Amino acid sequence: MEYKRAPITEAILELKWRDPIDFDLAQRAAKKLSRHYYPGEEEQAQVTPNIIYETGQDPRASVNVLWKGIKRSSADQAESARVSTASLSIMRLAPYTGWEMFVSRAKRDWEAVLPTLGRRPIERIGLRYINRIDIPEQDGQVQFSRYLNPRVAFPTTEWGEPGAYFVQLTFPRAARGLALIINTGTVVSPILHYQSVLLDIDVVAEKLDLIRDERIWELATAMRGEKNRVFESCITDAAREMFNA
Amino acid sequence: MSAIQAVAAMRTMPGANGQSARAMPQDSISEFHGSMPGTSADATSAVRTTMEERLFQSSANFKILTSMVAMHLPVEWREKMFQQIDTLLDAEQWESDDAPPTVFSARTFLRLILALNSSVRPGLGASHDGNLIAAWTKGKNRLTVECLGGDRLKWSVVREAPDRESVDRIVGATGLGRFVSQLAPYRPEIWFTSGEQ
Repeated sequence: MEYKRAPITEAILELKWRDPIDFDLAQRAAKKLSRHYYPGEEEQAQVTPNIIYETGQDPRASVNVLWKGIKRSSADQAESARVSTASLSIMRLAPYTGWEMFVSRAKRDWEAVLPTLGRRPIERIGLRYINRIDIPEQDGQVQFSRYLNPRVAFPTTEWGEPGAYFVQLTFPRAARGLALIINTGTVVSPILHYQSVLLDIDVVAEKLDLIRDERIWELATAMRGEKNRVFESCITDAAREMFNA
Repeated sequence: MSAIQAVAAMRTMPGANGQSARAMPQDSISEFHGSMPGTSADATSAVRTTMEERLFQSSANFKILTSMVAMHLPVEWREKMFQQIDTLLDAEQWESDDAPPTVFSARTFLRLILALNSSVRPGLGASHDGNLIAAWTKGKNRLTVECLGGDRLKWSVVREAPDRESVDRIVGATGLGRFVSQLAPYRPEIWFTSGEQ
């Protein structure tokens, strides 16, 4: 279902290769991503500080930097792609412009890096949609269960609904061999006099050995179908109404 | 961001902000209220010292923060605000001693925009110490709001007096939560409901 004001704050598709690649190769592949679409570029590293303190001696400090990948971003920062030593990730921030555009971009970027990387098996595909549902307060309160189906069951109703909660649900063997992870809970709202709930849906296909492009995109599309099914099952009609207001 | 925080951000795998799909989402949900957006970029921020790079990062932070509330903004607002911020942060025009707008100020600015629910986009400026300034002008009437971190605002109103021969000037400092009610006596609809500036 498409909404006028979809609550998606970030969509991420990650294709993880079976065997990690060198940073140099990731860097060369990232250079093949179009500068027209992604003028921004930043190298990303894992930085590990080491501080050694021995009695009677001055502390000694050093920093290890392990280069991990290159992120390329559109001028408005809404679209980005990351080639790392482990994977290719395609990201889209709000406003979300639909699956067709998202997956087309993923295919385009995949085809751009493929000649440099060479065809290599994909071991894992992750499709993650982070939604934030912003709900206006009424008398300073929000009844979350009016908008969301996943909820916290508490032994007594004496205290009403919780003002804040956080739940992680993992389904290692969800439908069609996919794993599903849902994180949901209250977050500080970016809007005054609103309260917000995070609904973070992550669909994962693991232990893959995919080489053929069409199989990758077929699976990604099927995962998107599952993600939509999960999302729709998590929200109520009141939420749908709000997204279309 | 400290080096230790950088490790925490980078040990997870991707996501526009460097979070793993499996990571607990407290990191990602702090996009708007907690850590700097684009934390994955921060590992390299220590070497980003030129003013041009700082301005770029300030602009990128603003755009990422805006994306967090983009579903509540008209599409054309987002595009035009980005043009405004790019113009404001043009390295060739920027005074080299001034600090680029901080992410904390940008966050307050966006919360202000959403709270006011104005149909008129403000003009944008920046203070020398890294705060965004929003301004609405209608004839002699002017509302200027400096957005500090943590929802704090400094504001000034120039309002034509009823005799139309003089103007009243009022300044204030308040939190965002009380700003709308403090502004009410000055009939702010003159700034917020009359189409594009």
